[in-house]
Amino acid sequence: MSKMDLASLSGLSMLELFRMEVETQAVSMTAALLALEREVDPAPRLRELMRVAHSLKGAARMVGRNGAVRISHAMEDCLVAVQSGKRPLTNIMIDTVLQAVDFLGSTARVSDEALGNWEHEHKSVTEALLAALSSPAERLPAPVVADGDRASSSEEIPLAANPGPAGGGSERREYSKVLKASDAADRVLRVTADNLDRMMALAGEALVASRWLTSFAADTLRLKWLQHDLGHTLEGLLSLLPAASSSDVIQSQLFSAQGRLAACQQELAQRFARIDQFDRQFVSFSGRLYHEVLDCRMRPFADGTQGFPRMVRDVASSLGKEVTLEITGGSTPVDRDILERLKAPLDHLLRNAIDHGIEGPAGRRLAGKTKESSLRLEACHSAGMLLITVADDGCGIDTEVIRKAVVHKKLTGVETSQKMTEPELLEFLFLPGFTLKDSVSEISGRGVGLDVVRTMVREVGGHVRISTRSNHDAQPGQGTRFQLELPLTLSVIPTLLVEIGGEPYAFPLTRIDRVLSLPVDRIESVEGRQHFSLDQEQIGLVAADQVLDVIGAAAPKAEVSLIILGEKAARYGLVVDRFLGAGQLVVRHLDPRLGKVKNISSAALLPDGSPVLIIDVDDLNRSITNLTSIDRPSRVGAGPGAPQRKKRVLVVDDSLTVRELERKLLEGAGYVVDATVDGADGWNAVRTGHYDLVVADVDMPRLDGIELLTLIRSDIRLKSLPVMIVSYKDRQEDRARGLDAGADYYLTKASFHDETLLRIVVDLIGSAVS
Amino acid sequence: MTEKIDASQRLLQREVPEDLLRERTVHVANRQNVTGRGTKSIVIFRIGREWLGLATDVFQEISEERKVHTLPHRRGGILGGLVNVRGELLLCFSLDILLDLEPSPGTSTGNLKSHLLVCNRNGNRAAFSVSEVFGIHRYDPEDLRAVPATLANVAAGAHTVGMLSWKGRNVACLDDELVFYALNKDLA
Repeated sequence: MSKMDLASLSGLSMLELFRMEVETQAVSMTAALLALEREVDPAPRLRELMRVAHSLKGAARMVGRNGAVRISHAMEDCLVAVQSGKRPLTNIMIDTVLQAVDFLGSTARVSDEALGNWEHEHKSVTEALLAALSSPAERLPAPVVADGDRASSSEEIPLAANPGPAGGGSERREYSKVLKASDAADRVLRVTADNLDRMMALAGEALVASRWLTSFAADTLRLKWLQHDLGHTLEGLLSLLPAASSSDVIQSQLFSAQGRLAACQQELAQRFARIDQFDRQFVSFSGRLYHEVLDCRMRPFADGTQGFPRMVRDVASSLGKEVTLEITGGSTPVDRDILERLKAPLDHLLRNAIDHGIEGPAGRRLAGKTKESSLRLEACHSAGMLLITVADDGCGIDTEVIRKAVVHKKLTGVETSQKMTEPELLEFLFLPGFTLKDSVSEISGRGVGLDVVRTMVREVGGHVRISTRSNHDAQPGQGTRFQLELPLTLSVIPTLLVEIGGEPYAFPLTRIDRVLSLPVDRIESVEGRQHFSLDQEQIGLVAADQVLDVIGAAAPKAEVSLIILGEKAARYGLVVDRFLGAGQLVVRHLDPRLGKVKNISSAALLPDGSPVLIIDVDDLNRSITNLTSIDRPSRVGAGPGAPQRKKRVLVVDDSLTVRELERKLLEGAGYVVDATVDGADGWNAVRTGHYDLVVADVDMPRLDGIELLTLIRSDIRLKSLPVMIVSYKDRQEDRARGLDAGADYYLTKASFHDETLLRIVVDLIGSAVS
Repeated sequence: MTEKIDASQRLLQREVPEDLLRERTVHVANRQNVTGRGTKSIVIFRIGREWLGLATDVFQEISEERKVHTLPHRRGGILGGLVNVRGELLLCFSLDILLDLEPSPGTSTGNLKSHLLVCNRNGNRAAFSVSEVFGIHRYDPEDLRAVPATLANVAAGAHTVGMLSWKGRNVACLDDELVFYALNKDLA
């Protein structure tokens, strides 16, 4: 596929993007231009306008709109002239630029097909506008249009401030034609991520509600059986009646009861059928709604590859190579989060391929290859995964070179390196800082690129594979292939659901090594640490409830449920209460106020609507390492010990540096530290938290340290709380003022040393834990 | 017919008597009646044995109690965990712990809860589990009485602005600013 084909493949959405950008920028430019007229100092506005004009120029160039490039370039020149004082800032100049903005707007609305005609028709307008922008002469370009025009003057966008009726009419016709063209294309709407999230939440709730109806309908079945039983009872009664007694009244009553029951059964059956029908509809609708909302997160792969053809051309030509980039599968839907994160890794892989993979012209001639080399970027869906391939037809990677480099860098011994297979050797390329290039170029060779690729792929729960066919036995290399295997979406992930401390947690399936139920008698102990043997390997056991610091289920069991996590060197067996099964979860972000929750990446809802937390496996591995190196892991099933209360200090200071310095110092000594930015904040904090000490500055906005101190001393509950003042003011009267207000200590920042502060704190309230 | 229209026209367009106009003007201009009783509104609810009130305008909805998922490493804190409200995961806080409420006798795991208060104060959303909700009540700020001196001595007892009599009960009116301040601080 040539570059032109590429443009037609992805051009549609690129034009959409350009349109969107012009629309947005036109609004801001118009506002800035209008403000310019009133501004005392126009310089900042001008700079802003120049920046916008410049970025519009870049955008126009990207979509190949030469008219727009020229206009925005002239606009930029015009603004520069005004800024440097070569051109006066007049209303006419502003009008001209405004017209240029309008022109950009209308050219962006023209479709690619209609562009040729449009450009031809608007040639004179374009020229007139360019002239008006570049000429310092103070006249409106309208006359220029009339003068310089030949036959199509009625077709022009009127440039004069007051267009004539004929001009206006034709302009409207022009616009309606243009609008029709853009309507035909796939329309793009901008929706905020928040909005989409809320929509997804509601769609998910509808799905949960629809499931409730199913179970309700199932419960209603019971009513049917009860009626059925009632029918049997009536029949039994009838048969018990002595036939001879011929008690007509009773018999007729029983018959009528049977009749009524039949009516009830019929009625119920009808209602039941209707509920069932509605239920099926509702389930289907809410399911479709949900998937449709989920699909909103998908974008075509082409959206993420727009910059690559240009980049490949530039890099290749700077290296004197001829490379054609062929992108296939541009319409493959890719989750927008993944697409965004793919850009940097793909950029690295393509640069690497051009720099390392593809030979120079001489090398290619020697290998008997065509002068032009091909680089393939391919996206497709396969077996529920997104496959992205970057392949070149270059010289490949010589595994012997890697072997030497591995030994040279002392990553392994010579003997071990001899035993390594090709995939094992290729794996070294992903190590940070590992490079085969001798020199670091602008393009690649720092040895960070592949590390970036692997990190990204791992973060989203995928794999990356390299295969290569290098120069072997006088055969020329056939190139290198990188294949990224990624999940289709980050919003829905397959998980293993488990119970820890009586609550559901989810582990991403891609991050789990193995799952097993282990009989308790297979657990052994070494130096008090529990472990078991698995495939000749000793795997240490860690209780999940201890790592997560939740209250575990203490009931002893014959078998423990284990999840094997971790890398080759450090594998752990995480003991959970029980397995609940596997399930697809729609990932929800946690409330941003929570910050990063340790060991948790996100949350989700179970089919019954109850919340579940999704484990951050990397974080968990770190926590386990910390736990096992610092603490002693609790015996599986044993309850956790009681935590000790640490002393709490409140730091009140408006300077970030001082605040953080004090916080670090005190936290280093084991205190729990809260920091507030001023006295008023501090006053709120001190009333709501149990503090053992307040460390306050004097000069602060809203409420100063002395006022805060006075408030604390006059509060019945807080008056005996130790308060220490730390201030720049070191005159005797400042000291006296602080101490008079009731400070327990007055420390000047001049004599502020780490040890002094800590010593005084210990003097005042004792050490952190007591 | 035209007669009737004329009559109604005359009625509607007649001059307003001078004294009536003056009287009404004085009435409208008079602000004294505007201030006074029933200007503040709270939602009254109960947790265990305590009756509490929180400003109505922070309320978003009140729903039935739902399952709360605790957060790891947050055991025993004010933050109870996550709760699903209409498909959104909200943070659920424990007023029991924030206000140091006593569990009612006979319950081992704290107070029984039946309702969920969903609040939003300046974009800070929070849910609270409570035992019972009684509805909206309007009151005059002047009717607020001071908290007992013993409460004033409790280290974390500053969340109540004052006490209010309601149906023979004493309701503690909470300071929503301070309550939300405490919640956000707990998160940070």
